[in-house]
This record gives sequence, structure tokens and C-alpha cells, in this order.
Amino acid sequence: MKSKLKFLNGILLLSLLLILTACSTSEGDAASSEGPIILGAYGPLSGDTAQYGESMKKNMEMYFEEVNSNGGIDGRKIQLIVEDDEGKPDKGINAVKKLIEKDKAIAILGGPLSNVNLATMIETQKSKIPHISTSGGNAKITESGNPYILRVVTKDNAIASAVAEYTANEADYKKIGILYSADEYGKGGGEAAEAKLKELGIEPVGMEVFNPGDKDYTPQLMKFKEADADAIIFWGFYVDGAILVKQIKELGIDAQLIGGTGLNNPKFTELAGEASEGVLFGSPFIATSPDIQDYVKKYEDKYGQLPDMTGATGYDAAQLIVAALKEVGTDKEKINEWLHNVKDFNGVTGVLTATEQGDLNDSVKIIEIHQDGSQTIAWDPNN
Amino acid sequence: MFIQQLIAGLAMGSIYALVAMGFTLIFKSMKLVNFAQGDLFMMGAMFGYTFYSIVGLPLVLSIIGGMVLSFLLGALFERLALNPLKNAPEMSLLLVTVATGILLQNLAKLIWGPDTLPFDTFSEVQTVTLGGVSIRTQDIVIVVVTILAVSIFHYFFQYTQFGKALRATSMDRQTASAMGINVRVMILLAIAISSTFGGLAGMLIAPVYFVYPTMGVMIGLKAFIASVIGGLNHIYGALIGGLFLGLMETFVSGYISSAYKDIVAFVILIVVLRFLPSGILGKKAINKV
Repeated sequence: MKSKLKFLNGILLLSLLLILTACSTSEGDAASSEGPIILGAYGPLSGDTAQYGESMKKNMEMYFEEVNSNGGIDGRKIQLIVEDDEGKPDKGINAVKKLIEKDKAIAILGGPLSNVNLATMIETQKSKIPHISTSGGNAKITESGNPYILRVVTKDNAIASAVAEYTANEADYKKIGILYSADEYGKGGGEAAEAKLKELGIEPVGMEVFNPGDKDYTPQLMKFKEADADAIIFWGFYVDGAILVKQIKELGIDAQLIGGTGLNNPKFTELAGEASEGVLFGSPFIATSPDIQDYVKKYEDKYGQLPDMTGATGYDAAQLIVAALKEVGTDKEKINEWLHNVKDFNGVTGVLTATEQGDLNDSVKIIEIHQDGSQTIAWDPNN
Repeated sequence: MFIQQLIAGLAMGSIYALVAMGFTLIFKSMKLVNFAQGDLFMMGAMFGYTFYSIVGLPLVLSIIGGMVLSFLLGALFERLALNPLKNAPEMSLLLVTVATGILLQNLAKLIWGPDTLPFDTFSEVQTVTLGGVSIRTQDIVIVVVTILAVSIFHYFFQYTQFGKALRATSMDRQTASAMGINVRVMILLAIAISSTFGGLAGMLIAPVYFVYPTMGVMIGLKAFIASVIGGLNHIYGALIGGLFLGLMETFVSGYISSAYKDIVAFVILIVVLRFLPSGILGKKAINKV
């Protein structure tokens, strides 16, 4: 009996503590016209995809620091609050709810992952808050008819089509296998690549699936090997991609790996080591573009590394929201309207123009990774 | 294709077996399921990574260093978390192992960061080709080292004074204590050895898995299932359970679909619990009143 009481006391004390901490941090009301302007962002800051969230966060912080040191917006500073979604939709919903309800953020930026975005955008729509998704490429994000969502990165099906077109036409591979992760991101890209190949008259030699976080690709790769595949289109994240490309080499499979935006991360090269040489991927962003060298240099000076696609889309989201705040102030509806009418905005991931659905970008490049880790454009469909 | 699947399955099974032996060893000596086992596995990989990739020690020294630190971490875990609760109800002990797991994960996140870290393969040669079949050298390394580690442990457990005392403790704590065996020291030893096994497994798999703070979560769960399949009450049951699970997973993803890989373990667990509740090697447990 006594221990039961103790237990109950413990629970009471714990809940009291939780309430107290919750109260003490919820200060500041963005709806007021004084104090800092509060913006919320979310992304994976831990787990398998932490690198995506980290680089998004670093980019946003860098940009907002710059804006704040130049006097902010009409004298008001920007305060960015970043929450960890661990790469999971349920955590993402909690993060966004917290940002909206407790922190009173007036706009939500991020996150880098499609599966999380598809869940969180329902929350931002409910609360009628402008939401700029950064690098979640799944087509459904903007095709769902949600009037509050915008997206910086080029849609995955557009990138996957370009990847398929390059593989089949430009590079002239004939026996192409497709391997994609069993989540929203992988399915979107894998199926779009398959559709484009069929349109070009090529039947893929295999469509294989893996669970994100899988460590052994022997079964799938052996099937490609038996089908004599000369190229593998891969739609998944960088950790999985790094393990895969190592195993392609280890199992002695002679096939070119061509991936999507998920591989556009310096960590991919670091993890895969030598095996990353010659890997190709489709992405709207490359750090060596001549017109964005100011940005690249600033980032390199601050963090000692080159920016990546996930981060760069975060930077553009930050630039867009600041431009909107400067134009129309802190009214959420007006911000949303302004963002949906953006035209020829010079971002670091391309020239951004909003479509009715909220897509801002349509550029794609096929990029090659070299032995020293540097990247060059292998093919640009617009040139 | 069959040979490749077989080797990959044996390698994965060896990892499960090493971690699972930690479960059974602790369960035998103090009737406790240690839910921090997966995270002790992760810490071993982190220690190995630190010695090998940051400090730059030679591979063998790094692994030995990693095992020594894992041993000490296990001992520390017993001293700081389990020993103070030696008279507490079993549930408290169980919760302490869960809490330790969470603590270790977050500690690792603080020390090494949330990122996935690369760990070079042990050998420059990454594959050997035998009769037209290419096999990953790391898989062979995993299997050989596991056999070696289990053999050394077996010798220690069966033939040394310490081993006999440990066995006595695992059979009956009270009688062992009456015979003049320092039971607390034996329990400390059992937990430290469990942690060492986990840590070794972590370092062996690191070149395949890479290293990150949550790498132990799924492995811990799978190894626990492996130890239940083999029989929690039987130290070598973990070996059989681990190898069986590793092989089943690889064959299912190879011949049926990789989408079902993670389901295999749980289906086997349900079947085993229904028809062989004490595991493959286990005898029916007798509850003495």
C-alpha cells in the first residue's frame, strides 16, 4: 500500500514539473506587434536522417542571424525555434503543434522529409498558417490541394523523370533496375522513374523495395545481378545509399548507381568512401554553381563545409519568409497570399516562381561525384 | 545466390547471438532481462570507433580497447544502477535497465553527435571470390570472431575457478552464497561480460551498419527475441536462437520479399512462445514455492 502511494506521489510530482516547465517557456506572443517575430521550423535532429535536419537548421540560423544583425524587420528581430521530428510523422505533428500552439509561430518552415511533411501540413492547414516545406519532394505534398503549403525543392517526380531520361537516353543504359525505399519519398521517386522509363520504351529489369534503415541489400542486388542490370536507379536516403553503394562494389556488381536528392549530401561521400566515386544523382542544387558563390562562401566560412541541397532549400525558405514579412508584415493570410504569388525570386536552389499548387522550383541537374568528393554537373536538361 | 545468403545470414546471426548471450547470462545470474543490452552494444561500437577512427590505434588494439571499456561500463552499470537496488522489487530493476538504455543513447548523442559515423572495413580486401561466388570479408570476420569469443568464454565458464563460481551463482544464488562465493562479485562479473559481448558485436557490425546512437534499439529487440527463441534460461540457447533468427531473416528477404524481413522475428517469437514457451533448449521452468 505504502509503495503504491509513493508511486502516485511520484506521478503527481512529475506531472506538476511538466506543467511548470511548460508554463515557464511559453513567453512572447507573435500576434502582438512588439518583441521578436517567431518562426517555427522542424526537421530530424536525431536518428538516421539527422544530417538533413542539422543542415536545414544551420542554414536558417545563418540567414536569420544576418537579417537580425542588419536590424531585423522594421526593427523587430526574428526568433527561430527549431524542433526535432526524429524523421517520424507522429513526432513531426507534435513538433508543429507545439510550435503553433505554445510558441505562437506565425509561419512554419521545413521539414526535409516527405513522410513527415505529409502529416504536418494537415496541422498547418487546420491552423491556417503558411508552411514552406524545404526538401520533401513527394508530389502529393503540393498536389493535395492544401492552400497553405509551399515547397522549395523540385518535385520528386520531375527529378525522377529527369534521372530516368538521363539514364536511358543520355547515358544510354539499357538494362535498368529500380530500387526504392518503402516510404512516401521512395515510392514517389521510384514509381515516377518507372513511368518515365516506360514512356521512353524501356521496361525496367527489376523493381525492388527496401525498408529505410535496412543494412543488407544482398537479396535485392543478387536479383539485379541475375537480370544483368547495367544501371540501378536508387530512391532513398544517404545512409541507406552509402551502404548500398558499398555492397554493390563488394558483391562485384558492375552497374552504375543513379540516385535522387537523397544522395545530395556530403555525408554520403564520407560514409561510402571510395565507393561513392562515379555515383550520379539528380538534384536542383549544386554548390559549385557560379551565381551562388557568395552564399557558398558565407556558409563555408561559418561552418567549415559546403552547403548541401537540404540545407540550401532551408536557406531559400528563410529568404522567402523574410521577403514576405518585409512586404506584407506579420498577417498570416497576407504572407500566404504573397508567397503563392512569388515570381522570379532569386534563390540559391534556382529561380523560384510559385505555381497555383505551391511548387516553387522546377530545375533539375544530373550531378556526378568524383574521387576527391567534388561534384560536377553531368547533364542539365535546360541547357 | 544460396551460399551468399547463407554467409550473410550466419554473420547477422552471429551478431544476434553475441548480444543475446548477454541477455541470457544476466538472466541466468539474477533473473533480470537487461533492456540496456542493445545500447551497451551501441556503446561498444562507439568506443571502437573512437579508438580506431579518432585516436587512430591499430584495429586489434582498438577492438581490445573497446572491449575493456565495455567491460568497465558494464561493471559501472552494475555498481551505480543495479547494486543500489538489490533489495528492490524486480520491476524496479527492469525499469532501471530501460532507463539506463535511454541514458546511454542520449549520452552517446551528446558525446559523438546524432550523425551516422563511418567505420572502415577491417580488411582492405572487401570481398573474396570462391568458385564464382563473392563473399564479403567482413561477414567471414564476424563469424570467425564470434566462434573465437564464444570458445574463450566456454573455456572460462567451464574450466576456471571463476567460471565455476559464476555457474554456481547462476544455478542457485543462495546455495552459492552459503558455499562462500561472493555472489555480488559474480553478478558484477556476469553483467560486465554481457556488456563486453554486446560491445564486441557492436564493433564487428560497425563497418556494415556504420555507427550511430540509436543503432542498438532494433538489434537489442531482435537479440532479446533470439534469446527467448533459444531459451532465456540456457546460455547457449542464445547462440542457437541468434543463428536461427539471422538465417531466417536473410532467407525470407532473399526468397520471399525483403519487405517481410522485420516481421520474421516477431512471427517466430509468437510461434515459439505458443508451442515452446521455454525456448528451443529450455526445460520447463519449475516455480518453487
